[in-house]
Amino acid sequence: MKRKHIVKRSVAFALAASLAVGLSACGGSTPSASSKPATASKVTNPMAKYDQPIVVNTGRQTATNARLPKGDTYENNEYTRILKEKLNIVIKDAFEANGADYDRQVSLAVASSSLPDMMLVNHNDLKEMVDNDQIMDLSDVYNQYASDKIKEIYNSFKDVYDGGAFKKCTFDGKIMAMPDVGGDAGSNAAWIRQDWADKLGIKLDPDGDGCLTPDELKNVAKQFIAKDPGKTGKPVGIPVQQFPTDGSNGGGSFTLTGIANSFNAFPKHWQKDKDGKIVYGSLTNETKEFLTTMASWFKEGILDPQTGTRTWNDCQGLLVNNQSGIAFGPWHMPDWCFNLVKEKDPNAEFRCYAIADKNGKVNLMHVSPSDKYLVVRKGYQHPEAVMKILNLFYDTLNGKDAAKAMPNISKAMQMDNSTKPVNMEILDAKLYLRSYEQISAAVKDPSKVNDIDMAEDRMIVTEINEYNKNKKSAPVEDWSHYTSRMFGLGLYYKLTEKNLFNWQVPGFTGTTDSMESMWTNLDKLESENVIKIITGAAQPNSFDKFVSDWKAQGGSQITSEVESQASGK
Amino acid sequence: MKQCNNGWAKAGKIIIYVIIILMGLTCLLPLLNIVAISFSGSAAVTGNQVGFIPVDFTLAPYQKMLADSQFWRSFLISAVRVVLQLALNMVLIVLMAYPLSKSKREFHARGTYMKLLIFAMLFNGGMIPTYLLVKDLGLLNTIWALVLPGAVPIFNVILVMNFFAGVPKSLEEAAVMDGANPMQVLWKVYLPCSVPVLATIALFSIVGSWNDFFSGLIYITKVNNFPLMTYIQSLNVNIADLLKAGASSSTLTNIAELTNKNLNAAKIVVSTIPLIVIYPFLQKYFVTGIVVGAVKE
Amino acid sequence: MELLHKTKVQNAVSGRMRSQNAMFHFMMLPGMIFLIVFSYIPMVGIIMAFENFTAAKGIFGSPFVGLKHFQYMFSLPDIWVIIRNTLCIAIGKMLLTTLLAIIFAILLNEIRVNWMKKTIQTVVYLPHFLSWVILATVVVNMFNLDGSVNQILNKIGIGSMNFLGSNTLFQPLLIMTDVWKEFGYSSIVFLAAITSIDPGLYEAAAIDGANWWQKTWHVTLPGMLSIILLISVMNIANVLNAGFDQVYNLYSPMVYETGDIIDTYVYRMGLLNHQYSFSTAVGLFKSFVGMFLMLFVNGLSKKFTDARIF
Repeated sequence: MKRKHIVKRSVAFALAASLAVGLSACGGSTPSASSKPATASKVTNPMAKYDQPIVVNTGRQTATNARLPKGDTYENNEYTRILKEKLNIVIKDAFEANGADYDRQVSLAVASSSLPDMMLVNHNDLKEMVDNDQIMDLSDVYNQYASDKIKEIYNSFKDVYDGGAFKKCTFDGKIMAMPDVGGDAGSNAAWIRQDWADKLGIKLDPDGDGCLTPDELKNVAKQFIAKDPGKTGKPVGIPVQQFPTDGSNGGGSFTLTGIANSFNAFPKHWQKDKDGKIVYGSLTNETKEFLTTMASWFKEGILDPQTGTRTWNDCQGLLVNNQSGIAFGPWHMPDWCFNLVKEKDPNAEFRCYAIADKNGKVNLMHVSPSDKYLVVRKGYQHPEAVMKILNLFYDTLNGKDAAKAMPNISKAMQMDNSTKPVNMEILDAKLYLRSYEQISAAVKDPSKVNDIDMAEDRMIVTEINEYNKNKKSAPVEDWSHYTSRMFGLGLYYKLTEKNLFNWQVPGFTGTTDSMESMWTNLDKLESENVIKIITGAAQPNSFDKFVSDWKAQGGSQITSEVESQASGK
Repeated sequence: MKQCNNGWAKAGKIIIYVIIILMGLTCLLPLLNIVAISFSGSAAVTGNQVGFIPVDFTLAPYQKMLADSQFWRSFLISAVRVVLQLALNMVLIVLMAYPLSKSKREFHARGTYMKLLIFAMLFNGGMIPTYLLVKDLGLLNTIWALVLPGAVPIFNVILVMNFFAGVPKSLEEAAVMDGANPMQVLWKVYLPCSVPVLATIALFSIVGSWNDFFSGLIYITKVNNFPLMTYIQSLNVNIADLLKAGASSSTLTNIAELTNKNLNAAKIVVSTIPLIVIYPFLQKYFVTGIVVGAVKE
Repeated sequence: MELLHKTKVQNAVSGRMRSQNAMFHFMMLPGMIFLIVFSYIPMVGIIMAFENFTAAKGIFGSPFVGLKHFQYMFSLPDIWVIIRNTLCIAIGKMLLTTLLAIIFAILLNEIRVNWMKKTIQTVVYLPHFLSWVILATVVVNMFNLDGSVNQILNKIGIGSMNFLGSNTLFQPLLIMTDVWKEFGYSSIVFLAAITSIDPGLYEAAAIDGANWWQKTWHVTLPGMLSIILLISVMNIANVLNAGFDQVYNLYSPMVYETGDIIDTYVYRMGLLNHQYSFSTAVGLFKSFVGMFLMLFVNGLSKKFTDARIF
């Protein structure tokens, strides 16, 4: 992978590249001369350290378990110290909060007109702040100060999202925020207890393409229920949480997204149909077929009979109790969900499979992993400081030479990522494929460890090696990372290599005006409809009534708004 | 006939005791369940295997909690807050309840004040305006933001007012005859007669300020200044929702480590202990007969 | 002319009254200052209910839209179902909690074994402190299809009941579990009321030959009446607050029909985007309804009893 460029050589390169990026982001229109400030001179050293300490006030998005060592705080830890050392930038938190509380603090900060210098906001807040002229245009700062690698990373999304990484944060041709970006990482996969399959002599995926058909999955569930390999007396087939359809990245956990996709159904997504018209995925015939099939599975007892009242925690409980051995989820589920299963039952092994459609392909929708945008308030004197911070953390410290730049990096990596000055990621579209390639290569050949980009991946290779040496006594964390990388990411890699993915691009993402008032009700209608059809509380043909109700209660209006936004912008 | 009466009376007594004990037990059992969870292993807790006895007994949650310095910092902050709030509440409530308990003849403006109080109890501007006010007063991120907005709990004022209205007039008249002004009457006559209700509002104040987590979420901007319940609340995350919001694998792993139910249960057990300790102290004030002694002719 | 007729005593009385009044105002002052600062000043924020509030424009800069939010609220397809749910749940909770708290207070008063009395008192008031986040998991464990309650029901032959997933059972579940949680704490006020009853009244009743039930009916309950009325009237003001925390942690799409209350609906709206204006409008609506009901019940109690609440 590219090393950090020597500054002199890169500046000319960067200017040329940034011009290209700027043009593509603007959708072809050249920026008018008047919008560029007079001081658009060449920046000779974008990563120059400041003479005087510069204070950056931030809205800090925290995480529940920051794992700060004793004595450290969000304002004073390894990351803030290296920032001071390298760039002479000091971080002060205007507020520190988590999740919904963070959103509330953002609103309060905006309402009291005391915006921090930089903070992460979601798309709705971003729109509002642009409309009210509260944030800065970052186009110049990006062009002049962003490092090549950062630009490369953002560029890698050109084909993934309609319009590239900056589409949703560009307004009137101006880049108004730095988006959080990361790659898709594969389908909503079925994780199955391999040790149980072995015990019962079930051969999963005999052709080795990493896929199962829905019927094969059904068969496995049937056998698990009939033979109860967990020996609990109350086996459960497939646990499903209260919202079986999910439109987020990875398809959610304990959902049925993987199966839906194999019917070419994409509930909760806006899709383009064959004629190019935009339609809401939860209303399509494919979704109807999917729900009907799930209803029959439920009747046969394949799905958990208590679907609808089982919470997410209950579903995890079923796995931990050895009552169930099947769970749908993203590639990293072993890290934070199956670790408890392994703790309780040291024989547990999980392998994952994608659910293929009739043609043997795996359908899936590109979904941005997050809705975070870094904004800088209008009038802040040092917007370039923000760019420098991003360069430091998402280029220098994310690369092969990170340890050279920051000797304490392995200590710092013990902490949660939210302790970095900005709780976001800038990872390129193919990151996870590369990650898998590098990790598996290094596991086979230890000399390849030095070729690994991400410091986190290097740690994981060590853990995998530990696990392989001593399967019985290795800590559960090692097993989790081994399973999630070698099999979770492994599946993604395999399916990509075999070209079995059928990626769809959403027709539209985001919100329209009418959604604000009508979506809650439509969403309620949809959630009720889905769960009632699956559990048999409503007949499958009530789906048609749902569709007409949905359209009548505001859905049609919203759909036409979506159409015009999708084609207009 | 006396024997008949005794038989019924005894049976009645037994029934009453049984009912009361049953009611106590139904309240106790879920609490025992939570205590048991706090001493059980993570896997057992996740699998909902814990009843009233710990499964896979472990002290790990309590050890983790003891090591968590933020927990104890928050504990202290909450304790200080409770004391400040209690002092402020008691003074203001009593000062307001007394004039309000007088009749319109004795205190002309009583009706107006009453209406102002009720209106303020029913209508409020909501989170944003109150936040802006607290911010403008410079109280953000201080303990006063947690104490001052709740200075006048109107319901408690009305409660005490009602009790004061029930104090026999003869006592007051005697004191007035001796030349006491209203403050002295309040101090010497009404307060001693109202010990049960004062104990009640003291309890309500302590409980309310100890349990409140919402003010901390809004007014306290730095995690290490969080009061206890706000801190505990911030640990209650729903992994499924976080996954939807795009949390990374490592963040989810870290969160899963800290938010297991047994650790949560341990934190809740410890934060409930002060309340268990406080109540017996106040119970001795729920005593009959203070009024009586004074009025006997 | 009138002045000549006033006696010295009357002068003294009215003089004392005036200085008393002054003293009373003085006593009200500190509390009123707090009230004005922290309750009345922020009250101007209620205009948010009549605006399209955006944080950026602030309270006074956001555009005025009149009754739009109220019209919108009543045009929601489910609004009457949601209001009905809210009322059923809230009223059920209020009535049963108050009833059980009163009964408990009266019965507990009869316990003579002091340590038992104190222990039970402490135990029953504890569930109030547990947040619904943790209680919900306990409730779900107990009441789901393989939970302990259904195990017992099966043993005695009634068969399983789907408390969490059935639209006929969900509201009773909410009400029962909340009554369980709150009756102990609610009984504290009633206990305080009982201890304030003059024991002489009981002695007099005993002399007249009253048994336990008659004593309760003729001495205890009347002595508690003003407090019972006070609590009830205060509760009525909250009739549209059915308990967000509990419902949110226990409900699911299967029981939206009977379990979705005003606050949970508004919460889901807030997930889409902030909706500060709308939630202020809803809050205002709740306050108005609460106020009218309160005045109504207060009026009724003035007519039929001597007890004065306000």
